[in-house]
Amino acid sequence: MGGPSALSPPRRVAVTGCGVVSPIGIGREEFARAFLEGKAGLRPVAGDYSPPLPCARAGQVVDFDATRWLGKKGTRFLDRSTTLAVTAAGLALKDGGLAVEEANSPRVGVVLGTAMGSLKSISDFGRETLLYERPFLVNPMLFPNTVLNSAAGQVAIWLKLRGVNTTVSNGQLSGLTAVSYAGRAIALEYADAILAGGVEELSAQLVWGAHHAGNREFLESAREEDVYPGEGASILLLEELQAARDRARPVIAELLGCESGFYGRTRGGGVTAQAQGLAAWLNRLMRARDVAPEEVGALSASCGPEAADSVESLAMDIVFGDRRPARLDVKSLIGECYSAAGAFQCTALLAYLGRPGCAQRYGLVTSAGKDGAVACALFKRGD
Amino acid sequence: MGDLVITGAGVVTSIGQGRVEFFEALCRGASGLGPLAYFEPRLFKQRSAYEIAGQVEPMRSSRLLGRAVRQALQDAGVEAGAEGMVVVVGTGLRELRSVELWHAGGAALRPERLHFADAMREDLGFAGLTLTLSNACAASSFALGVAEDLLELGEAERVLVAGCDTLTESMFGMLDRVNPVGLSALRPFGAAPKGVLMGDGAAAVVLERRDAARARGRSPLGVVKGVGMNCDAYNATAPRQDGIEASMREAQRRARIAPPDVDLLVAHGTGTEQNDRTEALAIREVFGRRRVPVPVTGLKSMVGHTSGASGLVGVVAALEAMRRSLIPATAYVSALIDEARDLDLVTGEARAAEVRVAQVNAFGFGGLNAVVILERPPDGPGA
Repeated sequence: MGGPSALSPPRRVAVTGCGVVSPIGIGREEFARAFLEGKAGLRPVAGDYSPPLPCARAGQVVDFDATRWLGKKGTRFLDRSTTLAVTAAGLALKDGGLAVEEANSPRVGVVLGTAMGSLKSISDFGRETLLYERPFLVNPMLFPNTVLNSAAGQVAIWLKLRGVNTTVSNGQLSGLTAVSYAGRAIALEYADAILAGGVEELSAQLVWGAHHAGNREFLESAREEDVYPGEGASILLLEELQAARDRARPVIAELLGCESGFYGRTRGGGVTAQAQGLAAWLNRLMRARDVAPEEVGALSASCGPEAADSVESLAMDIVFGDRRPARLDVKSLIGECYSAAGAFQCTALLAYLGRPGCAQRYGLVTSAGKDGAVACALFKRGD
Repeated sequence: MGDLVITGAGVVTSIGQGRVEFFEALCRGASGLGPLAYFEPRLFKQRSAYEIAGQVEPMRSSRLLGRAVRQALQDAGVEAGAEGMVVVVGTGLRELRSVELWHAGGAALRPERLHFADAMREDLGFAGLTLTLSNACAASSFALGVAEDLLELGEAERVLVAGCDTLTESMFGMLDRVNPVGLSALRPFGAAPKGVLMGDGAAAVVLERRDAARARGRSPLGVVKGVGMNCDAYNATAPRQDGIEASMREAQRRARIAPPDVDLLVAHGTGTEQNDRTEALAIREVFGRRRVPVPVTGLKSMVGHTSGASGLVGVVAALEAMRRSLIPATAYVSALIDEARDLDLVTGEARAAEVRVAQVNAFGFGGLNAVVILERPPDGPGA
């Protein structure tokens, strides 16, 4: 029969575009500039939240008007998290200069991380069923917003992406897990290009929910500036490396690999076990790609909740000893963007590696959830 | 990395168990169709099904699964507790029958037993990860696709892939509403009366890298060349022709083969008007519109629709067909539906034919399609 084996080595994956809607800027360049300057995105809460948020400050995307980016048509019934995602996805596609046409559309997909979808849409819709006359005179146009894959579905509809369409719900690790999932889908030939990242919208429901769930450190940590709630969407355009080179696009970075593990209480875990687990995955990731720890220029950490903070610190101690790479804390600028956090960390790392005169080529992204889950990704700066 | 090979197989159906006995029964034209034994026949207009004899008791799916898994392990010469062993089980309805028995008569129910991780660990001694996928009637073929990915990514040393389903009263009753009166058998691509009859079944295979099998001195039963998976995104129950075509083309693309390379097509062939018409037209479209040169067979005429197990039941049959150069005939079919007139449907007696490459179709509710391409090991049949 001839031809190459069905199991040629997994394909290589490039980042060729970034789309960001964040408290510190919209678009890759604006975000990168703001991040590198250390621009503060946490501000006194503006606008009406019902009930008012239980925190004085938040990382809001204050200047975001969905109709400006998407037009008025077809946006009326979309919720905030969906418009954030569709806008960021469109920016990523544009940044990467990838034209989606009839021919390549079935091979271009979207993988979006969202822990709970739009909690506001879900709870507003549920509330309507109680407020209005029976039998349930609710607005059917608002129903699609209540399902978890609303944002991924709308991204596909708006941008005509008919390939892989996946919504990943993995708590605080959702964004990084989405990037990992998308990278594998491209490596294993399930798609040729994927918009991958995470989205989170700020809402009274989400913030109060986190508050009542006992995440007090979400608001009251000693390192307050790290843990105010935030919102936004960060989406990477991932492509098969050779295809990106063939169309002569600048490769922002290569995604060299992702790993994840779980060290929760149900498995007898704890902070130490979680940190050791994360360290083991980081080592495995670097070893698989022949990257020595001293070659790693930066680690973009999830920080946030205190336990996760110490998990990552301990893991860095184990892996790097006293030769630690720069630690990037995007969360201190934009707040806890939960589902989108890992994707923002990726974009922040790429901004760091891509800054003028940067000598380092490799960078890591880590996420550590309070439930004991850990994930990490290894990137190499583009040529 | 080299090819992925199947080194052991097990199967439990209404016409026999063990790959050899099962295949001989298929080639004899045995039928598992009998009077409905597990439910009260008077409640239904359809009073026959393809059941496996036994007691009316909870946890039958797990037990059938266990039998198929033990056969596959023994056939492959591996231990359940071996290092790096991962289990992926595809199923349509998991242990739904156990829930029905609990609901109807208070049979004991342990919710954690409704998927198969505990059964694999406690009853069979598997030590690693067990994933249960519920992808309707394409589930076990999806499981094979997941296994392929796990091995390709180095996440597993060896994967036990399985599928299982037993009749449930709710599913049987639902189909009874739509099946015509006087449906006496399942007739893939046959003329009226059209309808589907369910069957009990389980199947399992051990998948590993060719070099790993060689190192253990095992000769493979067959090579898994590729699995094409997609979703129609069209209708909750009806199949869609272009989606089915796309899944077949994707499988062939992944396997690096062209339609003329396929020597045997094990059809999904559920006997329903919708499936048979759509699948026949899709086969014609992919394999050539005038006279379709590939021999097609519909095993469900003999073992019923074994739901989530059906894809892997077809895989086990195809492995034996390749080894013995023999294609089982489709039972209960004389006249064909119009759309299938150009198909080379094997009927009457089993047909002697060299089978180097086999394709196994599986299409599930929700538009879930999974197509498997298998190849005879190059060392020849029976090696």
